[in-house]
Amino acid sequence: MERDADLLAALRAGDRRTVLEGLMDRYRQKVLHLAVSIVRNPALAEDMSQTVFVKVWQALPKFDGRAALSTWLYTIARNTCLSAIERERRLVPLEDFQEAADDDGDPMLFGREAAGVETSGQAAAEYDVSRLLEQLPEPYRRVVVLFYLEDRSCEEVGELLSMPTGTVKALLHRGRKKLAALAGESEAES
Amino acid sequence: MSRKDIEARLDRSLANQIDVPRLDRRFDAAVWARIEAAEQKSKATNPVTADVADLAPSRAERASRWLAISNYVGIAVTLAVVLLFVLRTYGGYEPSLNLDMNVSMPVVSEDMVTRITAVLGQLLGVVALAFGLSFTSVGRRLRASFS
Repeated sequence: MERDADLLAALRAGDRRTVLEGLMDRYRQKVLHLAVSIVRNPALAEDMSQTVFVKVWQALPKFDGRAALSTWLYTIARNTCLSAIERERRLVPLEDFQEAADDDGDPMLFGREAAGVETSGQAAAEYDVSRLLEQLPEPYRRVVVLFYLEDRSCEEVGELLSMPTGTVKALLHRGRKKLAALAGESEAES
Repeated sequence: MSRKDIEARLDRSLANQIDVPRLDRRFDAAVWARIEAAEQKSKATNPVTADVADLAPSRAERASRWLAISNYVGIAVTLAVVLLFVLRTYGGYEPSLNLDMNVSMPVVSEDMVTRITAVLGQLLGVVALAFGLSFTSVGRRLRASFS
């Protein structure tokens, strides 16, 4: 199964299993990227990605083919992750949630340690991305993270977030400027 | 350090540190296990309806059906009014509606109307304010504690 057209043909033939296998084969990594950019926690993002494919399995009989399979899948992924965040926020104030996550030693995804970068030599010449991203407002952070995960492709980021490429470029530009300003501030402090 | 140096260093840091593990077939296996578990659970909790669940219309389908019905009713009423208007204007048709009703209307003074309007206005204001507040973070938390 290489193309979405093949998957659609399998779906029309009622072969739901083959369709899900094909979708996971093609899109599992992209769904993980999208989940990571929204929930910002690797374990939770993988769990969310699994939930997304379970939901896809349940919704496949109702797929009407009006949108592309990838667009439909990304919409389910975005809604699943955003709902999970919203649910957490409703049950526990966000600040408490962050503290709880830190207390559990839940590893944040990005940063020198996560990347296996040592804090000497070349690594010392790098910023702690995790700390900088924490201070970046939401629309920028999501775009910046996805841009680097998607091999610097604004088109891919736009498809994942259902945004025009121009909007992605504008958010990316402003996000990087803000990050540079934050990095400059930390530079001045140290 | 110049702005350009900071941006170059930042770009290098982002490229090096933003990364996720690659998912493989183990991920697929975990998804299949969850699907299996969900289906088992669904059959165990509701063995009769589990098999026919797919046949029952979903909430979205029911909503869209009602929306279509209300659309048809709206279109029919609009067409009837337009037809009546055209007949009256160009055909001189005047519908004679004589319901022959003898209903006594209560007499409400102007002062009473003013007072009722004021009370209703305040009530509406309070309801609108409460509705708006229910979508703030405090309101959401409050709603969550009741649900």
